[in-house]
Amino acid sequence: MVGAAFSIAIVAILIGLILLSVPVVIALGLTSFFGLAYLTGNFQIAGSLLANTTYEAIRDYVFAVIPLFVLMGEFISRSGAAADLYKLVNRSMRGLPGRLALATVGGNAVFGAVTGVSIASAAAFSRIAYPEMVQHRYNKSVALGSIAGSASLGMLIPPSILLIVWGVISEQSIGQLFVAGVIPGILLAGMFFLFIVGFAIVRPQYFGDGANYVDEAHDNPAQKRKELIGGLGVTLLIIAVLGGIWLGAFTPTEAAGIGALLALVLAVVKGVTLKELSEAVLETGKISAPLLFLLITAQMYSRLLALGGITDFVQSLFLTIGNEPLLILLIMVAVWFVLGMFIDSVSIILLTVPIFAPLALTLGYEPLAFAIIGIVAIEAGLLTPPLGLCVYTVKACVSDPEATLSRIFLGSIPYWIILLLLVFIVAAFPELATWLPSKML
Amino acid sequence: MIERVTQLIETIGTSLKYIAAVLLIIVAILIAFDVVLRSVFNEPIIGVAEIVANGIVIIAYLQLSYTVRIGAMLRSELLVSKLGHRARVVFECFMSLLGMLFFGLIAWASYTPMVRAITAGEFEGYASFQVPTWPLRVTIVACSVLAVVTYFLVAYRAIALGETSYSTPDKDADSLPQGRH
Repeated sequence: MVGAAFSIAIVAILIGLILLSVPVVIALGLTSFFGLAYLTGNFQIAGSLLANTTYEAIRDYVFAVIPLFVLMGEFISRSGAAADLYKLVNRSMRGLPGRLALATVGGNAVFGAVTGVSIASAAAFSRIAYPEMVQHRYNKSVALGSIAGSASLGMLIPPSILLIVWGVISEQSIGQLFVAGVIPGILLAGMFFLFIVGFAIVRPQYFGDGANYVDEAHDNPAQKRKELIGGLGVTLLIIAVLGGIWLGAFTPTEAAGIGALLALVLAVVKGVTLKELSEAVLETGKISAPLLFLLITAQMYSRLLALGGITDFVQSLFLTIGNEPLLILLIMVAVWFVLGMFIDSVSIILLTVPIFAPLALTLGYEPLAFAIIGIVAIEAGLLTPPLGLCVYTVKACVSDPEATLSRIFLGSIPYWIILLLLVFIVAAFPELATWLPSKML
Repeated sequence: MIERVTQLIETIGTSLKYIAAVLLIIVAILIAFDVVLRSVFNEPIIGVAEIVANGIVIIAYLQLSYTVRIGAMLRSELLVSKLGHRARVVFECFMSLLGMLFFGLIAWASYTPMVRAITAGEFEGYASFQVPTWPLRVTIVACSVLAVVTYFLVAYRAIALGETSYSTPDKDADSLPQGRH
């Protein structure tokens, strides 16, 4: 009853339902319910497991972290802080080749520290950076690629929804995971920087020939003050939220609650209207409710995985291939890459991490380092065809008819290659992820 | 008749969505107050953790009907984006049926615990702070039933009006796919 045949059937049914575009929540929930009913031979038992899970699964203080960080990001997005950051970074990069693309990366890195979803960054910078790059005769593919590519920073630099979900699924401390993401996030931004500078030196024609241009905002003190308020506000927010978590002053949930209120204050100071504020709150519900339901059904699913022996089956399958850690990691990355072609990142984590995380532990991977490796690998799927979510977001936010999907996908290629490079750098040097959390107070 | 039901469900779903939004703000304020009172005056608010924990589940369920109606539940549209209009209607109905089944199962399974919570007056929490369990139990059952009706209407809309909730247009459409959020 339990074992190979059952495992294969469950995986096949799940993949089939998801391919038929059944929402992942429903696919996971129904497969788990009927799987558990089959295993226990009793619908009443499966029913009471279902009732229990829907009541208990997310009934914990920790889960408030998801809507609250989303809310913080929504307030910040509407405050125009992304444009301020972009202009501030842009000004500080005077004289560097590929400056506008660099400012996109830098702005995204800072913006990523106040938002938990890449989509928010991709949308904001499409509207801010793209027109500017076009005006300065950047190659469109290069410009679009830099926007979609650097949006991936938001998912690695805390607070990040992916890190939260990973923490919940693998029962790791969300605070530690956040801190673990800091150095790899900065490293990733650094690698993007190096790539752009190098590319701009070799092919200056793609970056507007390094033309000198007038900075409109340069002589306008009112504009400068506005940018400074935005920049300062975001910096304070980052210090309060991440600093508070790192110093042990706040739990992630508390940091999220305070962060959301501080972001609200910043939005009000920046003149966001009441209507936009209520839109931010409603949008938060739209983004976070599906995530919370995914976490509910994910718990049914992990019960099925354990009871049905599926975890053991997949693990032994992996180990028959060999017990060379790097080889197994390569297979996992390949699985994530393929899954990234048809489902979203959160669903990928829910489906694979309950199986992969224990396996990685037995292979000797440090859990924090493995989490970062996984997040970075899964993020590459945000940029690859056919369904790269960041690419579609950029497409939806840019009205230029020449900004075709294929142009954006093409421009994004270097960025996901760099992401995959980072996967193996962290695998080789796990201290990049584990060092900072070990210094937590 | 069905128009009336649609109207009613949309109104209920939208109102619940607003209530959830207000609850979320209250949760944020509660947490912030708790942190400030605890660190400055060394006097935490009793029961914040319990209220927040229950509040989050209620917030999630209150959003359910609206989320279902606008098709915001995360799903793969790889195959659907390659299909024509008719096939998409079939897929939408299939998905809605499974959605009705799933949330129907939740309502069925949660019904007995709900009745027990009401009749026995169940409480949960620590000795210093106890919350009744029935508000959450009732929310789960009521919102799941609402989700079943909403999925039925999604299927009805697909069959009768040919409207589907996919974010990608069908292969006959000229415009390009839009981002999900």
